[in-house]
Amino acid sequence: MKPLLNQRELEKRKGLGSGRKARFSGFSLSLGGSGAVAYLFLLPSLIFLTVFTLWPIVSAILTSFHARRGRNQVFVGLQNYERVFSDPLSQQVIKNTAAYVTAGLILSVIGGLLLAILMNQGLRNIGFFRFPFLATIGLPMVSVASIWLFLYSPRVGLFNELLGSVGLPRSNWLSNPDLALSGLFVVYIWKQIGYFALFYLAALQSLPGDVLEAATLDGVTFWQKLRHIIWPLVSPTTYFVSTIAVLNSLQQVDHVFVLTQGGPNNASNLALYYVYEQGFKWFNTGVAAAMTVVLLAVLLTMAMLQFVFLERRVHYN
Amino acid sequence: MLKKYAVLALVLLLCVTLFGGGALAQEPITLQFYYPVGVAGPLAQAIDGYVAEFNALNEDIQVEPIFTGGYSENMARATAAILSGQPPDVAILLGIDIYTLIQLEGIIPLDDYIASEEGLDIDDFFEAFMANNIADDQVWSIPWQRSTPILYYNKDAFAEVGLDPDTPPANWDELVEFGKQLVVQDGDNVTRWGVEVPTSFWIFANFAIQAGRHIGSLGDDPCGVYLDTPEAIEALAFLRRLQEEGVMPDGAVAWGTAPADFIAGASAMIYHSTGSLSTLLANSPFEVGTAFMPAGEAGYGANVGGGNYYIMKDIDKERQDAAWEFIRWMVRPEQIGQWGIDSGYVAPRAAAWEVDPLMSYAEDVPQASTARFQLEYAVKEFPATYGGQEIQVITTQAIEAVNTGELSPEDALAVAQERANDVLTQNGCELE
Amino acid sequence: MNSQKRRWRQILPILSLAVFGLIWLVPLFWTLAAAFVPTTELLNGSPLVWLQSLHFGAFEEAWSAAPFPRFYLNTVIWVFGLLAIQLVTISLAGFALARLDFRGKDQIFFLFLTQLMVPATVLILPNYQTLVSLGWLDSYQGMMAPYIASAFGAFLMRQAFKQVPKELEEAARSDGASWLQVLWHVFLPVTRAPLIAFSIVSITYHWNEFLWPLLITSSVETRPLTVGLALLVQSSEIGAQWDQLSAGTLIVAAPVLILIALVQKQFTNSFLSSGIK
Repeated sequence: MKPLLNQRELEKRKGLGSGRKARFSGFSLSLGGSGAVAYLFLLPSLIFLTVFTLWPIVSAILTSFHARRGRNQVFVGLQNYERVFSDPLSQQVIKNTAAYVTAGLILSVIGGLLLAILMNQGLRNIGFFRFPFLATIGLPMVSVASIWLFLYSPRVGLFNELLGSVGLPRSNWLSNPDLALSGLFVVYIWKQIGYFALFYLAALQSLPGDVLEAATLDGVTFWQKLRHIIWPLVSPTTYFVSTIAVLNSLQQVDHVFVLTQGGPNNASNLALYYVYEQGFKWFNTGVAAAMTVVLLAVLLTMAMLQFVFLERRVHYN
Repeated sequence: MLKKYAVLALVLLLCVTLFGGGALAQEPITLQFYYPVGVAGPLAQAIDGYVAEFNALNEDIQVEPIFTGGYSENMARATAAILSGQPPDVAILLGIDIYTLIQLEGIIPLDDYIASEEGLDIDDFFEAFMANNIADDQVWSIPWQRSTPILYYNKDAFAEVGLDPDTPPANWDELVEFGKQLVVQDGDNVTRWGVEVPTSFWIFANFAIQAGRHIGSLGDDPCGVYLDTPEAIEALAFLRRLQEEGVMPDGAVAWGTAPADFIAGASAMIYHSTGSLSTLLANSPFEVGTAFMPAGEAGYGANVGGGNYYIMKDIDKERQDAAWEFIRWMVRPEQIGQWGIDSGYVAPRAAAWEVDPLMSYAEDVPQASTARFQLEYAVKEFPATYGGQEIQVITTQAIEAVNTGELSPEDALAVAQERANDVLTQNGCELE
Repeated sequence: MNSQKRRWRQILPILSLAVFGLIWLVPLFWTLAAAFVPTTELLNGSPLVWLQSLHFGAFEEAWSAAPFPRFYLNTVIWVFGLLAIQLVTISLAGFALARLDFRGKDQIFFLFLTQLMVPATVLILPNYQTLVSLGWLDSYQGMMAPYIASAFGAFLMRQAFKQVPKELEEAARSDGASWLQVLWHVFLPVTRAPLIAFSIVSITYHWNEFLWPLLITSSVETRPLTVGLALLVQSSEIGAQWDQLSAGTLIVAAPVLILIALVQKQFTNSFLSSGIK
C-alpha cells in the first residue's frame, strides 16, 4: 500500500516553521479554543449523519408500527413484524438472504484467498493478469447484470449455446426456481471476487517473503502450506473480509432488479429487494420498514460483536 | 406528529447549510406526463414525436414526456409521486389501477370534461375498453394503448409441417395437436417449440375466461378476485399440460422472451399483446399470422388490457384543463389511429377505423384487425382491485410455481387466493 | 529432474491465473461481440463470419433509443458534485477527529462508526421519506444527501492527519494561522494520496449506483446512466434486442473500464484503503 503521506511535501514543509518545541499537554483549552472550531468543522458531517443515518433508524422503527390506508398511516402495533416473521413469502426471503450471505461469506474468503495466492507472483507484468478481476469490481452492477442477462438467456444465451454445442440439455437458468438464486450469486461472485482477493493480496505481500519461499523449498504440498502457514498468517484479513463480505452481500439488489425481479415465485427474492417491492412497488411502507428494522438489527448485532472482538485485539482510538 | 416536527427541525438546519430552494417560474404551463412503454422499440420515440408535435402547435401548453419503465414501475413512480404530494399532471397508467388511484385520492373523474363543449364522444370508444375506466358511474380515464392478447403464429412453419397456414388452432385441443406437429428437435434439444405462453397474470386470465369463469370481477367491484375456482384450476392445469406434452418449454417464460423467440423462429406460436404486432411484423423473416386465442370449453374469451390517460388530482385547475386539452388532442381519431399503426395497439374508438391513416392500413394489414374483432369476446381486465399491483404479482407467482413444477394448480391457486385475500383485507375489503 | 519439476511449479500458477482470467473475461468479450455483430450471426456464425459482419448500428440505435448524452451529464454532475462536497466534509471532519480536542468526541466518533455499519442502501425507505418531507425528490441534492457525510472518508483522513508531525501544525499556528489555514496549507498538501484514494472509491461507487437514484429521480434531467440503462433493459413490451442492449451496456461501462485499465495500480491501492477503518 502507498504511504498515506506525501513524503516530499512533508520534507519541504518541515523547513517552514521555526520548530518551536514548547508544547502544552494537549488539551483543548491550550489549543486556543479548538473545541468550538472542532464543532464547526464537524457540523456539516454531523448534520447529514443525523438526518440520513441516525434519524432514518428511528424513523424506520416508527414507520414499522404503522400501515398505510390510502394516504394515511394508522398505528397497527406489531402487525408488520408478524407479517415479516410468519408470512411464508417473507420467510422465504429471509431464507434466501441467509443462504446468499452465507455462501457469499464462504466464497469470498476461500475464493478471494486462492485468487490472491495466484495473483501474488513476482511477475513483472502481473498487472495484465490481474486486470480481468479488477475490471469487474469497477463495473456497474446494472451493466454486469445486463451482460449476464444475455449470457443466461434461454435460447440465445452463451451458456445454452455452449451446452447445446456439446449436446447437453439446455437450461432455463433464471426461470428455474432451483437455479435462479444461484444464478444471481454467480453474477455477484464474478463481479466481487477480485475485491476480496485484493485484501488478501495486500496481506500476502506484507508477509515476510522468506516465510513463503522457505516453505516452497522444503517440498511441502500446497495444501499443507495453505493450511499451516498462510491461513493462520492472514487470519486478521479473513476476519476483515468476512465483515465486508456480509455487508456487501446484504446490500445486493441491482442484479435482482435486472435479472429476476425476485422470481420465479420468489425463489430469488432477497431482503433488500423485498424492501423495494413492499415499500416502493406496493407501498406497504410498514412492512418494508419492519424488514428494514430486521436488517438493521442484524447489522448492529454484527457491529456489536465486532466491537467486542476488536476491543480485545486492538485499541481503535 | 412527533416525526413531522423532528423532520421539520432538521429541514431548518439543512436549509441553513448547503442548499437553497429551487423554485422555477414558467410562463407557459408545462405538464409532466408519465408514460410506460419499451424504450428500445420505436414506441417511446413515437410518443415523444406526438408530444413534440403537440408542443409545436401549442404555445401556452408544453408537455414534458417522461418515460418511466414498464407498467409496474410506471405505476410505482406515479404512486410515489402522489403520496409525496408532487404528482405528475397527466399519466398513462393501467386501466386496472383505477381503484388504487381512487383510494389514493390521486385522480379526478372526467365526466365534466367529457360533457363540456370541448368534450369527447365517449360512446365512440369500444365498450370492452371502457369497462376498466368506470367506477361509481363516473369515467376516470380515457383509453389509449389498449390491447388484448392474441395468438401469433408462424405461417411458414405451419406450411413446413403440412398444416394449413390459414387455419390457426381454434381450440385448446388443436393448440396442443398443432403444437406437437410444430416442435422441431435436434437430438435432445428442442430448436423450435410449438407455443410459448408468457408466464403472466394477464395471459392466464384469458384461459380462465375460456374455461368458463374470469378470475376477476366483471362489475364495479374493487374486491373481486377468484383464483381458486374450478375453472381457474382447469386453465392453469392446461398451461401445465402444454409443457407436459412437450409443446411449451419447461419453466417460466418471460414476457419479453416470447416475441424474441418468435422472431428467431424458436417458437412457432406465441400468446402476446397486440401491442407487439408492429414489431413482430417488421422483424419476423417469415409470414406472421394472427388469430383469436383458441377457445376453451366456454368458447372464445379475452381479457382486455393496456393503459389509459388519467388526470391527477392535487394540481391546479388550469393544469387539469391543459391536461384535458392534451388528452383530447392525443385521442383524435387520426392521431390514435396513427398510434395503432405505429404500435399495434387496438385503436380504442370506432371513428379511428373509419378515417385514414388507420382505415387504409387495416385494409393492407389484415392482422391489425384481429384483436378488434376479438373484442366481441372480451371482458374487463383483471385485477381491477385495491392493491392490484401486488395481486398481479401474486397471481403470476402462482403460475410460475406451476410452470416450474413446484406446485399443483390447486395448491398454487389456493395459496394465491389466500395471499390475495390478505391484500384485499388490508385495503379495507370485507370478504366472506 | 528436480529443476523441471520446479519450473513446472513456477509455471502452473501463472498458467492457471491466465486461464482463469480468460474465463473471467468471456462475458465481457461476449458482450463486445454482441454489440458489434448482429445477433443471428453471433449465434450461427464463426468468429470469421463475425468479422465480416461487424457493424456499429447497434451503438447508434442504443444512443438514440435513450438520451444517453444527458444521462452522462447527469452522472457526471451527481458523482463529481458529490465528491467535491465530500472532500470538504471529510477533510474538516477528519481534521477535527485527528487533531482537535472537544467534549463529546467519543459520542461523535460512535456516530460515525454507526454509518460504517449501516450502509445507506439499507436505509432507502426512511431516507426516501425524509427526502419527500424536504421536497428533494428528483434532484441532485436528494441523490447526494445520504452520502454527503462519509464515515469512511472521515476516518481515512483522520488516519492520515494523525501521521502529520505535530511541529508542522504548531509552527503554522504560532505564525498566527487559523485552523482552517493550517488544514489548507499544511495538512491537505501532504495528504493527497488518501484524498485520491477516497475519490476513486467514491467515484466508482456512485458511478455504479442504481437503486437509490432509481427511486429518487423521475426525469431525464436527473436520471443517471445506470437508471437509463436499466430502463433500456426493461423494454419488455417488445422483446430483447441484444445488440442494442450490449451496446448500451458498453456505453455505460466503457469509462469505468478505461479508467481501470489506465490507473490500475492506483485503483488497487484505493480499494485497499477502503479497508481501513
